[in-house]
Amino acid sequence: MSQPQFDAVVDRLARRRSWRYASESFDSAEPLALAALALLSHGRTEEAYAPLARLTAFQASDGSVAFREGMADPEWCTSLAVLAWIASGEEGFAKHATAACQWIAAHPGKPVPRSIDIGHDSELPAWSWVQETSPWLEPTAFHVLALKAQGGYEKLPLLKSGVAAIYDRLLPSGGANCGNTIVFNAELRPHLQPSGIALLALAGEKRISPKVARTRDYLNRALLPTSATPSLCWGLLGLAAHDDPALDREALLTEHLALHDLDAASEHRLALIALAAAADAHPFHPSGRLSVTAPATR
Amino acid sequence: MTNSPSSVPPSSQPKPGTVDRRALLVGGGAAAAGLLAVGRIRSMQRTRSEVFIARNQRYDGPTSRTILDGLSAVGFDAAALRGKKVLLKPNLVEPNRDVPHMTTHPDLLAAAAEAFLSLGAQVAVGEGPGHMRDTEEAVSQSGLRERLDAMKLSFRDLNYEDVAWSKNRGRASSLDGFWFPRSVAEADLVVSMPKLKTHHWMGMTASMKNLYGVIPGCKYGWPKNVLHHHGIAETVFDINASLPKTIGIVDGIDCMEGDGPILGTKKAMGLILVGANLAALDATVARIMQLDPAKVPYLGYAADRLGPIDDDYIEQRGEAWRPLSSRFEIVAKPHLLAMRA
Repeated sequence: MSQPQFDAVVDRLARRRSWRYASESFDSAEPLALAALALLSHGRTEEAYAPLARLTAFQASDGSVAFREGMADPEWCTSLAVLAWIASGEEGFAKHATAACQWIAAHPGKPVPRSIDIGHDSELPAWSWVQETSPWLEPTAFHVLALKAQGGYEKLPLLKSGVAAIYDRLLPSGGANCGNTIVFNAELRPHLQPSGIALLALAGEKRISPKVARTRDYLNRALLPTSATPSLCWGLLGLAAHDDPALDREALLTEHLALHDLDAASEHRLALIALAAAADAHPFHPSGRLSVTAPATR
Repeated sequence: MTNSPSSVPPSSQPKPGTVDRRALLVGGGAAAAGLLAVGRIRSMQRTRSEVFIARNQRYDGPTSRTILDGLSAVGFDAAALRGKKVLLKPNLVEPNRDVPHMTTHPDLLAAAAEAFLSLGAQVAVGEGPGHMRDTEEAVSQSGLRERLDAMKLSFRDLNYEDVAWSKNRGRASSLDGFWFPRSVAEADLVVSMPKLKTHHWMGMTASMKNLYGVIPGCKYGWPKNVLHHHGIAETVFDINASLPKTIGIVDGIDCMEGDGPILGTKKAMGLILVGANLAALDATVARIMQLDPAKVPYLGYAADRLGPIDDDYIEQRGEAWRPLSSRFEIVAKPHLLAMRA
């Protein structure tokens, strides 16, 4: 999708030399990785080099990538860095991606015993935001995407159970939230961003789940030009990953852009808009789609 | 009585291969801050505290005046706020335009901002939603965006702000300390502005539990699972013991009963509560809901350590709580039924 309004977003992003969530904030791994992915997905390889290289400073010798440079933890951004490094196709970044994936494969979250009060399977191995805590939906989805993109992990039981956990955390009525489905027999509400991210991670999976179809229906109903940028863009990326044709993505993004001052937009926001505009190129599946044939859960 | 950001937690040393640039807000003063905190907790033991209740309140009424009356009634030194940084912390756990009784009403938040601005304070609004990583969407769904823009109020996304380390002054949990967002660590006053509602794990959520929302998701996750793994009641107490000076203004106009804090149903009460001591304030909220404060787990920790929860030690200002008490429905689970008054 190359239109002047989206080219302007990419141009702005390419000129930035900080990669932050907000103008008064600090460089963080997620905006860095998303900016690199966005620039790469629009063919701006040269300008993507700066955020890609900056990300390497966030990587510890054990392969993990911290949320912020100089902080030991949490490491949930490791997978986003992997996706950016792999998308670059640069040999120099490949070793960073390899080390990061080794860390991801060895660091699942901490399952907790199942409870009759909780709907999801809390014992399924998957990934957490912070070490020694329980698995949740978004970090699991990001780590699944990273290991799929890297390749060679198809037989890893943790990857298979991670995919199964994403299916399990989809709400029976469709959509997803941070990863709670049912508590005390009551179904919780979906949110746009995690619903889109869940769909992204499940793209290419062969399993047919009515919950995936309902999640697409939910996003098709709920995404609006007035939705916040992260929610709108992750939702559109998730739908595009499933080649869902229902929404006019270009029209939605164009109307969304008309409501916002791009000068004030953070790199995080610019990157997400640019990524959503390039969603047809599947920027989160840089090495093609991959099914790990997750075992069926309920 | 302010607890300053203090020493770096040993567990968060940078890993090999990375550079430590975190020094921005992390400084010395640990010993001094610790002494202050011990003094603060000790000073709360069996002291009396005032809680103000106003009834017949409406969101479109003169609630700013009510809040000022409440601050005065609980002995808050309003004059001391001139030029000071006040952070208003609403509850925006996972806002939904169809469920306004889940989150702090934007009109009441605007009224509080107006009140503190009239006292000469520098007012900002901050929240780190616990269940939503897209804070912008949370602010929009809550209806707060329009108020913030109209009043030109600054909003701080506490989930992604720069952080400062503070020692755990409570020590009910095994956490050494907390990363607090810069806006929280640097505030002269944090105003907890919860929605009065039930909570299916803790029985109720009011001004103390609302302060879970000052913990940054970027460090603790969504939900803030590090806290859960160290005990909800324990960490609610510890966070409250470790924060800078706090007061509470409770949105008890349209409340939530039943399966709170998310799925419960609306219960109209028409109340605004103000307290300079959050333990005393939440104990009064519990009594209004017909829960026993001593059986609400986090209040059990707070009792006589952060403030009084015994009715004999709480001075009621404005309305008395007894005529306003109304049974809030709760999920029929043993751990909740055990909290009934």
